[in-house]
Amino acid sequence: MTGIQRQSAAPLLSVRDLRVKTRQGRILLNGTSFDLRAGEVLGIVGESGSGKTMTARALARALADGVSAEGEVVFDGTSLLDVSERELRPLRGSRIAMVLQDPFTALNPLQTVREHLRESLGPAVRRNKAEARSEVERRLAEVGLAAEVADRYPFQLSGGMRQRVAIATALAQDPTFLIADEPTTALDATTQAQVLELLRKLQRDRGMALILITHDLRVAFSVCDRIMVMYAGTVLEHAPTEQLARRPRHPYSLGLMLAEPPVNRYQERLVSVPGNVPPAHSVTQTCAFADRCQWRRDACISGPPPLAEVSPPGAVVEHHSACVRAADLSDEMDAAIRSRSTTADEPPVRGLGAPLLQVRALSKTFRTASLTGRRKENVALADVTFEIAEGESLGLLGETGSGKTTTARCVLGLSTPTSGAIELDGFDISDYRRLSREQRARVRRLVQVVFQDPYASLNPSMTIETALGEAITAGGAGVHGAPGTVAELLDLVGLPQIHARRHPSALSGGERQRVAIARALAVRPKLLICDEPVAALDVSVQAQILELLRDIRTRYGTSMLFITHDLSVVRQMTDRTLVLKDGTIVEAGDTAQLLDAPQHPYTRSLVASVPGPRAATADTTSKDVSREPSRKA
Amino acid sequence: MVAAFVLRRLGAGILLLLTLSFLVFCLLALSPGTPLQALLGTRPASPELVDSLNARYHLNDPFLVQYGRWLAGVCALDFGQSISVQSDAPVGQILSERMALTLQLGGYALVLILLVGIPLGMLAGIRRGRRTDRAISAGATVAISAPAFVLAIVLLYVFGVALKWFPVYGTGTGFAERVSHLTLPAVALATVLSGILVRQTRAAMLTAMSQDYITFARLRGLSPGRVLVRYALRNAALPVVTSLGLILVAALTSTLFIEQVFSLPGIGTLLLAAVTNNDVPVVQGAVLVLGASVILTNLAVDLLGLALDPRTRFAVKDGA
Repeated sequence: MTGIQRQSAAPLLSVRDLRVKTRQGRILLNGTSFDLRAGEVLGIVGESGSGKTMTARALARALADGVSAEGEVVFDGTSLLDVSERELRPLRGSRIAMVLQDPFTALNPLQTVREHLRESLGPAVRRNKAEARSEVERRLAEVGLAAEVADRYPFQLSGGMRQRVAIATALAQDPTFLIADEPTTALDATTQAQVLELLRKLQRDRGMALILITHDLRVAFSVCDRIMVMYAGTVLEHAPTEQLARRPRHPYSLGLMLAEPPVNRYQERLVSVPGNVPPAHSVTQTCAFADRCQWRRDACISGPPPLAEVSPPGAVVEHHSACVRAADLSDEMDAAIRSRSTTADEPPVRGLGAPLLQVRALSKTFRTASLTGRRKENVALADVTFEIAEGESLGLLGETGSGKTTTARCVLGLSTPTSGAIELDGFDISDYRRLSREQRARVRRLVQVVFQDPYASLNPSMTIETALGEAITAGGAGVHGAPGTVAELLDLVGLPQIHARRHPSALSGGERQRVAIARALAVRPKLLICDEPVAALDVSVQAQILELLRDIRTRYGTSMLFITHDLSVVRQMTDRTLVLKDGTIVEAGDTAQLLDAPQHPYTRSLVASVPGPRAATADTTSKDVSREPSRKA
Repeated sequence: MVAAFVLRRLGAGILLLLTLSFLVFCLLALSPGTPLQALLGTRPASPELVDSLNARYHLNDPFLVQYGRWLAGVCALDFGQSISVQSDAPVGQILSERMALTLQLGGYALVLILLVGIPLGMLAGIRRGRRTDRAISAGATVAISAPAFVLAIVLLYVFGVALKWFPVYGTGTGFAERVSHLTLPAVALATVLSGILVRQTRAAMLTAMSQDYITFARLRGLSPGRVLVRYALRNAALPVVTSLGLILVAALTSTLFIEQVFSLPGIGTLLLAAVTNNDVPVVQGAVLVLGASVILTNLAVDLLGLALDPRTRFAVKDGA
């Protein structure tokens, strides 16, 4: 299974049996082997806990304290795991480079872009002042940034611009090998597409070898030559991109692909992989995926399955799968993939009731002042008008800073609008402060919220039972039709009763989000605001949560305001959609129509930036990257 | 822009001092004993003497008039005359003499705090979890736990009385002698505070060292020296400067004890004597000087922060 390419030239990077362990001997990464040739792009795809970032960090020798790597990593004749940091430094930047996930923390906040670039250049260029100056400008132009960006500080730049700067500094000495660890995950959709495009271009122009770590199969499909699918510290499948996309040979890869909610059509039943990702050390002696696999046999758990070749006859590049039943299941898996692309369900037609929420000419301005007295007004929302009928689900689509969360906060009474009116079920809630105590209590029972991050939205010191019990009491006992007990609530969101006595820390992300939903439902709200409820969750769990929310809507007729940046979530979860940009609604309409035939250029660019096989109507005019808005203060 | 900021802060500072002086004036008026008793001393309180003293020091004027008279004087830079501590000497002159010594003591201690606290804190932060770190952290805990006045007495006994390395009493003349006289008090003052600074610096260093930008800088092959100085130190400097402001203010209060123990004629002993003797003008003057130094220290810390961190120059507040 070593040489993936049959006519193997000497690989640039050769990894054999790479393992990562904690100091206490707990296994985090479970024997990974692969080769990478010069100019090749390898994608490593996996959910949280899969070991993909561990692999990247082990290769770059950037593991955290208390975690160590063993095995063999040979880069161009140097055994990377055996040399000292001092011996490794000449390779860093000039031969091997790495880009980190979060562009907001990767740059020194006290240094200008110019200083970042200059210090990253080779010593010969760095010492000549004039040459360094022109080189900095050239490097900025290469990543699509204007020369004047050089004198800005990182905090004055948008996320996309920061990631461009980070890429420019990482490539300042023209390395032959780049590791990019989720380089676009923290970015907005349109920015994400541009940064991926940039990475691909830079890689091709330089013939640079690239390892792209991502949790998003669509991203990997759009960029990589080969893809390695990892799960719980183990490689489950390793295949050429085309092959993986059309003929996956591992149930987990298949599950991941099916769990991806489609963006171009409504799917009546969202498929998810049941259960949660196990920790790597617990599955070293079995197929890591066995517990969640519908095709499990005894052979799967009798020992760790080898990564065996499953290539079709005559294939140039080998295809490996760690499923012992890959051969028997191939027809079933092929059928599943085919059926996915043919089924197109009609979204259900629901009878809508009277308007529940009416938002009229909502505006919100934040006044900001710096320590030294510069004042600025920041318009977060300008003249936003919309309605949600009883039983309706409305999508609020937009990127960072578009005002979607501000809208939610105004409806929830967490922010007071600068002007405009909000009416909820007959109550004027434009200003919560003007409501009487009794009115406020009633409004709070009408509208509830599920936040993005289930790790931060539950009190870590309260058991689930206490948290839910508190919500039930706060709602006032005996609210009509509300689930009266903790047990009923857990049942409602599909959690076993045993969770009641646990603390949030003992739960997985998906389970926590279920608890958060249960807590919101305790008062049986008429309107549920979902603020990116699946953005922080793994793909295989996302679908579970989306299905749960659909189920709640069907069962109780709850209206929903669905805030998201994700077009496929909007497609699956909403009847109508508003597109917000810079605090104004640029387009509104029936979700299916809006996504199939976007009218506004901005909506079109959003649709176009979905990675992978482009949506049919996508307008692919490439945007001028230097016009991306910056955050100059 | 920065000038406007400084002016605004100074304006706020003056308001604060005004309030402070008024509150202290009230407290003195409410406290038992009157300046009259101090003025009379052991003399018999004959009506003529009382009348003349009252007239001279305006002791019979209504409360607000007394405060107003004092305030008018201050505006003309006249802090009045001392009543009892150094009878009839101008308060301004007493304050400047006493403050000079206190500032020397404080400056000496500050140098010690910085020289000990910052390097040790950095070292502990860089060598996190190793023996060096554990030794330094343990030392810092001991230093923090030692009350300054107890430590002062121990130091005085060991190095002054038993070993006779340093003088026990007096302030000395000339630079060398002054330094030798101020060494024990400065050490006593600096110990607790440098313990605090060690901890603050260590924490700031740990935070900075664990940031992504440090990892990213290493991955780009920047020299370890550059990563340490331009990345770790500069970023750690911000929280350290902020805590330094608090430490300096704490030092000011500690001088009260230290000057008392070492019988140094600084502003602390002056304040104590003035309060005991109901010497209103001196108390008011000393409070004003101490208050002004706290305000100026904080202003200096903020300006230093502005100079160090470009973000604070554009910092954004949510004025919802």
